[in-house]
Amino acid sequence: MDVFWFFDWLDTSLLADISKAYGGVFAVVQMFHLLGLALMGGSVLLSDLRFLGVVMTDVPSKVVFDNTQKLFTLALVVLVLSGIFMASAVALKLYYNEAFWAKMAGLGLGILFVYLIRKPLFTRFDHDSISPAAVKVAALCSLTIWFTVAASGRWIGFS
Amino acid sequence: MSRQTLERMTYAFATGVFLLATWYWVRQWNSMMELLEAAYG
Amino acid sequence: MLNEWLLAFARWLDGFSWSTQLHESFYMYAWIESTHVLTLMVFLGMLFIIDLRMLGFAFTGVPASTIAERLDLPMKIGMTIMVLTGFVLFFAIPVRSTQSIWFRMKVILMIGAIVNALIFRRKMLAAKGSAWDRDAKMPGDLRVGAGLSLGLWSAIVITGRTIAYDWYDCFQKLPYFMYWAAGCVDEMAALDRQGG
Repeated sequence: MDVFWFFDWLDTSLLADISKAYGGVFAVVQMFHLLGLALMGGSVLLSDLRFLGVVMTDVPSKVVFDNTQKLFTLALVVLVLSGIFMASAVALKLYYNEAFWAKMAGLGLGILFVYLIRKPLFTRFDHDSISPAAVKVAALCSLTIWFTVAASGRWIGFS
Repeated sequence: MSRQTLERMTYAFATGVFLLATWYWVRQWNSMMELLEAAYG
Repeated sequence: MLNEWLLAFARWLDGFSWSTQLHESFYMYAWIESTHVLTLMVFLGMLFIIDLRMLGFAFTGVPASTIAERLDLPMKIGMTIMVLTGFVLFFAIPVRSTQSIWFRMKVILMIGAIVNALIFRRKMLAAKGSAWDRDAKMPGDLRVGAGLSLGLWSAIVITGRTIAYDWYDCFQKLPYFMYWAAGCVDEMAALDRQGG
């Protein structure tokens, strides 16, 4: 499946007209992307480190998970929307950028993992009934995915 | 889905993620080292 | 006067071979820069969750002081790495950073954020065991502090990002006031000579 047409279209879209012409608008959108990153990073770290027994051990993991999951979804929406705008400025360049595709692959895996496995598992079942090994493996998996997404995202600019 | 199914899915998914991530980061590291060698010899 | 001193200090830093090596290195600068940006997730992530708790948007079922206390250590770890990498980044490009209007705004905003954080912390510590510690929303002054914290740090993020743009660098043709604000000492002197 070749998705070149999408990047070709994005490159000449109205969005690209704005993102390419106004550096100030781009910088503001990028600020939202970075703030979204902080919010997502905070919610991922907090919930996963709680599952690993590192932080907030005196607060039930269910409470930590429910609260951070809401923030996570909010952050994801902000990140994807601001990300599409940022991508429109360099759409054709991104199509040939390896770090970008690594990030997209990681993002896809991350969304699948969170909404297909992690969220159902920790929302529907009592956390004490879930095998402690599965809880820790899920936390490590989530940390690995989102670290890779963030780091390869930063690397897009350098490669 | 039952709890056991989701737990099994967690293990399977995580194994795939860990393998992929290791492959990706080792590959990144190697390509960086190659570039460094090309730059400084 | 201050502009001259700052520039002299930046040029002195620039004289170290370390500074040039860092700036021209193949990966070191990129790695340090990436670490600086990625620690944003640790430091600002924790800070935002504390602020959102104070405003009543997250963790409303957990006492505010518990959130603030438990997230304090991870926040400080993130802050330490951010500050250290930040200094190294400044050291790698001292002159241009000193003469960057964005960098100067960022420093001023950070001073504001630190003052706000110190006041906020004092009030937060006093909150422990108080009647409203378990309330969803904190009293007015703590909410103002949390809102200011979110606003200031957002502004710090954007000014930090725009340091990379050269819109208002000294080599651009700018009004005298902007040269002064950015500390473009030589360009100011050139304008003075033209005028006089």
